[in-house]
Amino acid sequence: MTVTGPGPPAAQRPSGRPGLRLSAVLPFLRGRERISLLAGCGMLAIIVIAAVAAPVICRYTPTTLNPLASLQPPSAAHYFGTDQFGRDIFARTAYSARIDLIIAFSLVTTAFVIGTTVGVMAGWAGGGLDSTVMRVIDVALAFPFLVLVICIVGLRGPGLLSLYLAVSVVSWIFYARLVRAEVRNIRHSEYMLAAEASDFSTLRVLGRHLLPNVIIQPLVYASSDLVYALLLGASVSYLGLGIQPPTPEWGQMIQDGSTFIGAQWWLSFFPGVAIVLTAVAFSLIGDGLATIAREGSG
Amino acid sequence: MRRLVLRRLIQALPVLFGITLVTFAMVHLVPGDPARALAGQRATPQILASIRHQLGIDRPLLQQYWHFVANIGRGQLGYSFLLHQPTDTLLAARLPTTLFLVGYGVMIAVVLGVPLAMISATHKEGWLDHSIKGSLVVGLGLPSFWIGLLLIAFLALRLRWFPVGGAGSGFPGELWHLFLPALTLALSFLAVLVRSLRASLIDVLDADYVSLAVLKGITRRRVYVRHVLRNALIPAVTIVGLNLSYLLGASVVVESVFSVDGIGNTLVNAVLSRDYQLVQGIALVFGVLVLMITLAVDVTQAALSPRNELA
Repeated sequence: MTVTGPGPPAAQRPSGRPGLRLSAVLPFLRGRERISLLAGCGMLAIIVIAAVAAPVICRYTPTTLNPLASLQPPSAAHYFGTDQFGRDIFARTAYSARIDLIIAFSLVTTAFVIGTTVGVMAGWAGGGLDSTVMRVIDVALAFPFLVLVICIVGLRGPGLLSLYLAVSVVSWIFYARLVRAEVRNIRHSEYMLAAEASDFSTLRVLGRHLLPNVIIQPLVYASSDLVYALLLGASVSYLGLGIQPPTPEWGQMIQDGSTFIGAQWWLSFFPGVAIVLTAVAFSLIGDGLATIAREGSG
Repeated sequence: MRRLVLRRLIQALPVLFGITLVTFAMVHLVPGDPARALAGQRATPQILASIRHQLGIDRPLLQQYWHFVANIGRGQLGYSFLLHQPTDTLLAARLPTTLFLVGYGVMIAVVLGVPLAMISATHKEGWLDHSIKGSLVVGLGLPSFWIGLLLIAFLALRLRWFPVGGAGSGFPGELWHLFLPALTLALSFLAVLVRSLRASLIDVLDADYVSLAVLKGITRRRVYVRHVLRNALIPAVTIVGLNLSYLLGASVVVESVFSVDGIGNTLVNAVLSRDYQLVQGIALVFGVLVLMITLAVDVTQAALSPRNELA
């Protein structure tokens, strides 16, 4: 995890040890990791509720223009103030949560699914497929992640579809690398040999016996990857290459407000706070899960 | 040692080939006809054909690739339609700014990060450690472009301590002008640095030679500075090395926020104005840069730890 963003190195499990199942660990949750996990889930729940219930909790819509009330500072009428077109920043921030959360989750899900599939196939099959995948990963790692994403998005033309495409092209490699290593760790363990010897179909061996034992690490990684996906989506939109106006999105709102940062700070300030809070929620969940996974297997 | 360097160089060759392949393929990702994108909708077929010929895209793909690689070999990276300059002269002028910014940012991160990690590790599980760890969770989620804007608003516009953008002249001017961008870059990297450094410091603090130093009755301060810090700086170098690729990526956003004249900001402008050859050239430079850094980190690590006889 040195390219999408800086991150804690993936915890290495001793080889040959079967992975743990989350359901077996949940009842034993205790101590600080539980607090971290619960706090993160609580924060995320509030943000999700704000996103879903945005029409209920906001007095204004995110796109209603009101030239008479432009650049108003935060007040009782406009909790977060208004922008240069008189649009309510609170409403725009709340509605943005929808698009930003969807982007973060779908980017991570895509990378997780593609990466896990490729990683299992490469680790299981070995040989030519494996070395081809590894070479592709080497080359992809040779570019700064953000540079590659910006280039692909830029060349295809700005927009959500380009962003998805660019990130799917690049970010699966982190999952593939992780899963491949896990698969190779347990590939020759006795229970895998037993499963193979019992005349099950390959699909069953991979699905029932291999996958449950290699899935925990990429799942834990995915929970911390959400932070980077969130920041990535916002960064690309900040640069004007992601979500296009008038759809409200945090990164783009910060860009819109940047010309007013000296006097009308609230335009860029509140969407940034929203990003930080969401990222902290993701981080707390990720840290909690990582600790549980480490203790459960250690 | 020489054998190791040689082996790493040979291992890098296929990656280098891959980098040229990816950057070559980039321009072919462009939907539609690049000639039409350049000439506009009303261009006559003759004009389109001449642009295609000029770009070389009327030739077979393999020949185009060969031409592309041969040009790189000659140091020619194409021509920027946006800035009306050959890409190579443009990059030669702007790459040093980016490298200076990243180096400056790393320096600030280390100056801030090493003491923080030291405090955290020596007060393990105490309230200081917990508050530092808590701030790191927040630090990890800070968008660099937002922090950059807040720094501009507060330190540049309100207090007028620093200039808003641009690059100063001379070394002191550059240090002063690039301080806020470098600080922003440092803050986006600080959380990772302190986290990893804290872990390695705790390992060092548990080491036998530290216990021996304490038993010998050496003062606490001396043990920390002479024995702990010196041994913890090696992992710090490794962490920085491993994250340089990330830092180069982050510098793109930071340069854009502060309008720094580096290759990152140039990349964003090139992408926004669809200057394909410039995008291609910059992507290539970034790829080769990261490859070289990875090589350097590998070799330095091997040189620093005689225990890992890799060669």
